[in-house]
Amino acid sequence: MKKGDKWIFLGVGIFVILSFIGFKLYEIKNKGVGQKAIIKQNNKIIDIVDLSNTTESRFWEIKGSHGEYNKIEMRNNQIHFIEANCPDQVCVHTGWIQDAGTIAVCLPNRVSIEITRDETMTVDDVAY
Amino acid sequence: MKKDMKKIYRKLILCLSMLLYITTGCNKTKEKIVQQEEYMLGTFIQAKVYDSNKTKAKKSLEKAFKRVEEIEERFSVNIPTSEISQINKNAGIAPTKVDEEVIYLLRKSTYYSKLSQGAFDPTIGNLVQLWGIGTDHAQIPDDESLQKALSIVNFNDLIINEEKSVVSLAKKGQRLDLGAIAKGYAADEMKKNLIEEGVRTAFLNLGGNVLTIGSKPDGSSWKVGIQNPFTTRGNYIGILEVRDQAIVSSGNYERYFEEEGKRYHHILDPRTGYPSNNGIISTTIITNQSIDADALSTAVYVMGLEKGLALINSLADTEAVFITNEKKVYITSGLEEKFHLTNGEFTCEKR
Repeated sequence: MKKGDKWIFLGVGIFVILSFIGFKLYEIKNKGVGQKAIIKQNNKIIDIVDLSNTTESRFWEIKGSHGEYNKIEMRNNQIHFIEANCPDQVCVHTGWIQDAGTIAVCLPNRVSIEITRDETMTVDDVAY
Repeated sequence: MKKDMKKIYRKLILCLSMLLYITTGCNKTKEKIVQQEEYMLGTFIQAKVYDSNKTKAKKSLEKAFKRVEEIEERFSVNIPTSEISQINKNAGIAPTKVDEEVIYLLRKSTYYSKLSQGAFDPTIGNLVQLWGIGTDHAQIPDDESLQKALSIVNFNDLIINEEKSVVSLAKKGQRLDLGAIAKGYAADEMKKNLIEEGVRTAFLNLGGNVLTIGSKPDGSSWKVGIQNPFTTRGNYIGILEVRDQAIVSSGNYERYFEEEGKRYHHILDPRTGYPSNNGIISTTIITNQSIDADALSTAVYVMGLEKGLALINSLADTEAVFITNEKKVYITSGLEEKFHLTNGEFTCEKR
């Protein structure tokens, strides 16, 4: 090995280590961030909200053209259908959701809430 | 000296390009996710295709959903012109000419009826209507109407003539309901269409019926949570790892109504006429085809733990997870490596 080579390998080595550290720092910084809830009506996005750091309640009232009514509440990094005028109440039964990949749907009124994935997710979806 | 520098540069470039290769190698994000959602088959269908070609993925999804539309028009009992509605109208009167895919689905239905000794029964339509679970007129039926509806539930009265492509129900008033199998068939058809269009990675969810194509874009298994039947959606008791397979759950936790503190859920026992009540509150089936998982999840839910497990163990490439009201989880031997219990309140028993 020549003298110059040493410096190159050393330089590349340092570069690799630094980029690894940088990458890990980026990962740590982004942990838990980006857990978003997407609220849709008739497959159209009504709102996209950041679920992290929500302590106080926030509400959405969603009305449809044929008298459909849904009320959504977000609190403590969770979101749910608090009220609906649909006959089956499946959306209200679904309860609070918070994990990425889960969906709460009001079929009759065509309103859905989906939690989107991020780096920290553990499952791709839930069979129900 | 000049020569040396050249060598150094060459090595440096080599090293850097290797680095570049390594960093891109572990970050395969070339595949884009294309997602489509529709309200069809009385449920919410979500499909995600992972492909480098966005336009192609979109087109293939549109084609797959178009196929579901066709299936709905053919099989829905809520559409008066559907072939199933026609068979129901003609019950006890005349045979009905049907498409070959109707024959296929009804053949599958009777196969699972026989296999489960009537725990799964496609002629359950009247009972489903009578209870109305999931509608605004859900109620406990009076004994007389229940016995009347129950008396004409019998899969042996479904007569399929494959040669002539005709189907008939033997008794007047008999009613088919394919709610426990049609979604599974639709999922398989979506998958078939997507694969025909060159899709190699996709995740389909038809109201909780999960069907996967291939493995995740990074080559690992899809991780699917099994719903905790005691709590709300998205709260899972464990994780299943699958590749290219179907997962279908049946449970008492989704469609139900309560009266005087008692829960009446939508999985009716075709032999008693009442919601199945045998200690099992959730079943999950893992198979290659969704149609089989769909029918079996209902069949074994009604059969109960011992008979249900025995049936699953007798079938090839079929695995299951049973959850009892005592928070015991039973898994079949093929799942030992693939199922991970994550909720400490439950205990796992292998069978």
